[in-house]
Amino acid sequence: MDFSVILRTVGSLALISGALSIIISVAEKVLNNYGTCELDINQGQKKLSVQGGSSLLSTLAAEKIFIPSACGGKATCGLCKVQVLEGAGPLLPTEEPYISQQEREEHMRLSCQIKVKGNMRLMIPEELFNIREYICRVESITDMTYDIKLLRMKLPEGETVTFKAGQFMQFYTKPYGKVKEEVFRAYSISSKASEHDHIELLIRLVPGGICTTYVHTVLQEADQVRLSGPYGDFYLRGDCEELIMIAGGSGLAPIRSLVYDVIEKGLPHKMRFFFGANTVRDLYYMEEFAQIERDYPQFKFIPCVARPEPQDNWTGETGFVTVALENQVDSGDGKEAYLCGSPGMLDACIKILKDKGFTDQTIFYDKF
Amino acid sequence: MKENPTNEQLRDTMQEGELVKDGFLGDDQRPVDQIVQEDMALLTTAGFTAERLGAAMRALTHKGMAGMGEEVDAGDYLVKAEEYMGLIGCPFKDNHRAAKRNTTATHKATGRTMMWTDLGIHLIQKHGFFQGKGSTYRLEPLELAAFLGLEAE
Repeated sequence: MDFSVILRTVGSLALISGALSIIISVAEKVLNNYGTCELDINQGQKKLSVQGGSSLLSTLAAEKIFIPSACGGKATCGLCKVQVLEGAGPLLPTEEPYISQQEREEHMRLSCQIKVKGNMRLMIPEELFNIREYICRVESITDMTYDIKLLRMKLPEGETVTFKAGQFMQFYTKPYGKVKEEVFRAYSISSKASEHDHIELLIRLVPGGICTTYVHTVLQEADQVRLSGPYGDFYLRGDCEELIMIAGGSGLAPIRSLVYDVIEKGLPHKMRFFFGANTVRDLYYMEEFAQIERDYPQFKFIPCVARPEPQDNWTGETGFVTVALENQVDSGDGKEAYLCGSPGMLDACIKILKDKGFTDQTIFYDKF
Repeated sequence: MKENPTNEQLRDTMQEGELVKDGFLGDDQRPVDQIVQEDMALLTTAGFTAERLGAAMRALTHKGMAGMGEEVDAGDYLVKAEEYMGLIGCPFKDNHRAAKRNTTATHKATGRTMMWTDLGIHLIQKHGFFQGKGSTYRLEPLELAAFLGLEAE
């Protein structure tokens, strides 16, 4: 074949594919351009004009309305439900596992999954309007154990945060390494609710975890970080005489905040805190809780170590936290239980508590 | 009707820094469906199914869970299942959410150790996906079958 024919053929093909790319690119822009959309919130109380095309969760966040989400918009936590009366389209397969029949009838949707493609009518609980964004400075990063760090963050001068002990914040990472986008995850607040100018979080390194790896390997003291919150309904009810608190690992965070809350408010509740650890090196805040126990007779601290080594000279409870719970809690009468930890530990403890007469109304936990 | 994600969408979701820091593909350049097809062909030819492998992995993980983070004696194996807070979604977008749990199993007789996640079990059992070569949690199908002591059928 003549070389010029080959050249002409290759050139023609390049031109055609180039033209097709342009057509596809233009079509994408046209088809995905939803223009300005109107969001009517709470029957006209708030009206927003927003650019369509993003998820409802991120669209609202851009307008400083923060809907709780623990998984960062990956449809794995089911926390970001919003009532959408109009404009959301049919329920998506990714939403189905999280939306009950009753919630379907109430038009509840996962805001991380539905896109803003037109005008929408939404109902958002008033308390969510109190959730704010904070640009904090990392004041200190402390190794509490080999895999748990304490982040102490200072709010900007003049700003304050008000939260209920037990609630959580969303922590936003910056892009790093191969992580190209901002990622956020939920972490319980470990600091005292009476401290309004700082936030403390306890973050355990999860192998392969995007956010926890950022905290453990990238974040430095004096860095700026973005938080939003407070979120969640894990907080003290207190309609009882005694609080049974159970935690493992970084699950200690909200329990610490709850213990201080009860003490600082002078509440009359007795408290027993069962803290489970596999080894002695998984324990932390030991001296602090021992001191609280000495100062406040209403509080009893029960650390449990599953596998102490002889050289640890461990004199506390030996075995799983479930064993101590089984042996030391007689019944659910007059008690509420507050739990935070891994799903397996929670399931095992909840089973024991229910066998002892605790009910869904007296057991509280965050399972994220 | 839910549509299956395309290879391109899957590759995007499985990249480093998307669902997990290190991704699911390692340095494997093959399309996801090709990775699945080639691994499944190996497995099928040798007389195994991904369903059986997944079931055997899950059974070991369940035994390990009794230890709540501590190593337990599970017959021919020592098994440790470590849990973390939170859930992770399946990159195949099938609505499956797995606990963040890592299982480390050591075969007592051979001393061989293998490690998998709850999501990894699901990827094998439901999608025949053993992850890309060079990825953190890649398991070679026939090595896994031998490790689990399964007989060819």
